[in-house]
Amino acid sequence: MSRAIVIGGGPNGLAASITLAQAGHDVTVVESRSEVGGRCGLLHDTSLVQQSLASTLGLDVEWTAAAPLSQAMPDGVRVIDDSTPGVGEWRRGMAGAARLVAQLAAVAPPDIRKNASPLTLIGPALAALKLGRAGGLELARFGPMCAEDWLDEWGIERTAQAALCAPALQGTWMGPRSPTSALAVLTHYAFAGQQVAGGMKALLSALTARASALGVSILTDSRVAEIQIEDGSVSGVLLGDERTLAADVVLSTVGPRLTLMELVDAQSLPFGLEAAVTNVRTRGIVAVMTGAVSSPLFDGAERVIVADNTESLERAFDDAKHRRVPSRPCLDVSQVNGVIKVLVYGAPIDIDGGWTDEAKVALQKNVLAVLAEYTETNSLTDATLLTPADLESEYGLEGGHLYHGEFALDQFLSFRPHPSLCRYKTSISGLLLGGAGMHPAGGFTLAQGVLSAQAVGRP
Amino acid sequence: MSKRYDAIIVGGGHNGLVCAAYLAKAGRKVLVLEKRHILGGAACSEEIYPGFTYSVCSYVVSLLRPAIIRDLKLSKFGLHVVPLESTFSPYPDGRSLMRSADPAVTRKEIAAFSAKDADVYPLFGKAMGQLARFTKPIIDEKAPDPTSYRPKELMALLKMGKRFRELSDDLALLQYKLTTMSAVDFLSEWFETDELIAPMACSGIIGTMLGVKSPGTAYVLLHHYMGEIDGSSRAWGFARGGTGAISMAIARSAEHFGAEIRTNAGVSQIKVKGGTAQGVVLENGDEIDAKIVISGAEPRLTFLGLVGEKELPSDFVTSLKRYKLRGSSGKVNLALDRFPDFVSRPGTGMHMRGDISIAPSTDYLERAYDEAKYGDFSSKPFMNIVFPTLMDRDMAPPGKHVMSIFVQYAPYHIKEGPSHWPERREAFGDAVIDTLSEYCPTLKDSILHRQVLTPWDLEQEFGLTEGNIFHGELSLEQLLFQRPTSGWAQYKTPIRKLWLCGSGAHPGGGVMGAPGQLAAQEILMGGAC
Repeated sequence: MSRAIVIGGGPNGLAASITLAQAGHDVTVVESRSEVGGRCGLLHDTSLVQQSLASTLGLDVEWTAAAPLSQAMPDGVRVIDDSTPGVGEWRRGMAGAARLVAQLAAVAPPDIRKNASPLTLIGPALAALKLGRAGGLELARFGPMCAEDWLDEWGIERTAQAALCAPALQGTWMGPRSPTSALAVLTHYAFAGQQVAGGMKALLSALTARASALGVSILTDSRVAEIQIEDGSVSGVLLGDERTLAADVVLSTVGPRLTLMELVDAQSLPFGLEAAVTNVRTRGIVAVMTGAVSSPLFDGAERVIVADNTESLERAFDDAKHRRVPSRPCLDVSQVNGVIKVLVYGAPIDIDGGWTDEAKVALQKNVLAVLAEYTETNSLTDATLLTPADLESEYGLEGGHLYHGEFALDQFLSFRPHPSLCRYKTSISGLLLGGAGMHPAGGFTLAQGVLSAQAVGRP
Repeated sequence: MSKRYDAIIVGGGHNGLVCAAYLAKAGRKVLVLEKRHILGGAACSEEIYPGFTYSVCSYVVSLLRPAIIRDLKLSKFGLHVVPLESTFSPYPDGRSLMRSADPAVTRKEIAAFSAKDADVYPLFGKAMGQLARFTKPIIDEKAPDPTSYRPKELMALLKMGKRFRELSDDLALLQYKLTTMSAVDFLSEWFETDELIAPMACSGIIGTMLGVKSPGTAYVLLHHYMGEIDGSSRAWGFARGGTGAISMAIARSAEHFGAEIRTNAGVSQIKVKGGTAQGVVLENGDEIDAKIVISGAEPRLTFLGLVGEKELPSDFVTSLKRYKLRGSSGKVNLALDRFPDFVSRPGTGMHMRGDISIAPSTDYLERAYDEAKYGDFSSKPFMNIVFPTLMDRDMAPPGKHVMSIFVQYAPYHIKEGPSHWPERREAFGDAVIDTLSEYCPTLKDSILHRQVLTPWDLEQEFGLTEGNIFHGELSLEQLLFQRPTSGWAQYKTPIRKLWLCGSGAHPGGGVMGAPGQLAAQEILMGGAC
């Protein structure tokens, strides 16, 4: 029996542990926090989780229509859907390209290095061929564009554009006027589908139930201090309390750079690995505010975007870019069973002067002020704000970035995080990367955990 | 019926002239029609103020193809390019940095900011040189068309792919990063000093409506290194007599080979019958026919302005309307009574005989961009400055100077609307002079004459649609086989016998001459005239 250790008990860690256990490995998940779930605690939205992956994992979940995407307007909340001018045409127009992105996200990316076997190119090439000539050319045209220009072409007005773009920009270091943000938006909607009935809570309990049914052991309150390497192969992990766990496979779901530069002793790091991850960009620009609502805000709408238009998104991005507290952050609000989670776009990890208490208070004040412009907020209590710095220190999210690495063309597909690492294996035998910083980029999909564990193979 | 020509070229800009010269050299009967009273388009020199010659718009020779200089014997026809010796960057705190052709000098200068960056700088140059060698053929060849199944195109694509496979994995990755990343992100992987990154990064934004932190801006960094490998041809430099001297040399060469060139001859219409170009109608009503018509004008102007929508396929019209122009820059030319010393490094040494970059920090550049995003010109703009009189004494009376200031951002689409630019022109000029005065306080008092060109002026006067100096944004989706639009990137157009030869065609803008040359090659190879 092969012993596998999964570092990190977040969604990808659990998904990887299940996949490994299904393949016959003896799996232990090591989680530094007191409970598993990681980012699940920060998000409500499960509509990007791929249903095919959930069934591969054997999760016991029901699917239901995703909460409508609503937008806060001065006179109440409206739903952005195919009846919004231009949106239906746009969605149908990009369907082929979206299918391609989804197909590429369902498998490990091709190894494009010079001496690699061309076999890994066949699948993606076939998927791309299905898009056809006109579709391919259209993708080559709009992919590099900025989201605003792209959506303008479809006649979608810029207020509605903001609602469509806001969720997609959270994983980027871009505004709606940044080139290539169109690709980020496409990717987001390529993944979007039904959501898990019961939301994130139901998904997380399905993951933990499935893991424990497969005999996965979970060590909480245990921090991995070092991944031990002997003769170029992993031999186990050293925990913070000096215990060691022997292992044949270590699959890390924390960030690629964190894994290779913090957890592996520099002496045993093979040549080239450090260079491969040094430059991974992980600048978080999203803070998370959680709270309780005794009666729902926004007339009970489950998912509400608060952004006046693309210009206000762009201005929020400007604040992040200039390392200051956003004066009018754009908000992605979701509320389920009295729990509200607000993703605050425009809050940079590298704020000038650091995230002091004053800065944090100022941001929270601005968030509440924006909310209060659009809805009655009296029922909101226990508001707690996690800045990107908090996300980094409390959740281990490198750079405070929700997805361990910005969405960018050079951190996409085979380039995520680096061509030598994109297929999850590293040059250290038995050490794999499987967190959100890996392919596929763009949102909470569980795909990285599953695909990386599949790369391990059977014991 | 007027006499027939083999080819009429609309627009006597440098690309139109290059195209004309090549066709004439091949024995074709060519007529060039220029709307203005002088040749060169945006590459012109004019005595705007008595005794002072301005390179009105374009002010440096950027990558003028060595083959063109050779084939058209431009040196014989008066082209004399003086290499730019340095790039100088002053900072508001009184420090400054000069990068020159002498590696030892550059090293010492950078080391004053960071020893590490001083070490890395030559390594960076070496890597970029390798990539430039790989990329250079792209600007010297027509863009392979992946939309075509013709064997010739497939072969060209294969050849390109094969060349790419010859790069090592590291260089291939670097090439990809260079094509997709922002200039600042790309440079930050190498350097730590913002004072170095900022002036280097701004070469990536010239002429674009993008910031140094916008993805896709790193690519143009490479152009500098391409110039270096062109070597003795001095591809980066300053032409004696100003940029117009380049156009004049090309025009003389074209005439030498038999081309006919008319100024004050604006074309108001390209005549099309049954989907085929017949000739042109001039603004004075004259009609001139020719076997083919070649437009050096910007694509949208050519088709929607001179041909007319009704003659064109509707998807082509859609592409043209989507084609992004959005000029983002202006130009200020000054006649100076005396040389204005820069506080951080006075005098007219080597640091003044190159280009001077007002780009003190990446934040500064992004702030300048932010203002433009929301419809204003930058109150503190990025500027690239040249003193032509330090390289060519004949451009001003003795002791006097000309100062050429490229200014960004000046968005065509200001919030009042582009036609309101004339009302804001002087305020824009003031912002430029006020900002510069922080670096050279004596400047204001030495100005004899000031010419301010806004993007509106560039459009009205030079036919640069929306004031875009490159005839179209140099963004990823408007390059190579997509310039100006996919399927029509090889100088041919949906109108039979109508061709493109300007900067709106591959490989794009700058005083390279490549679109004109490549268009002529295509036309001659296909036996079009």
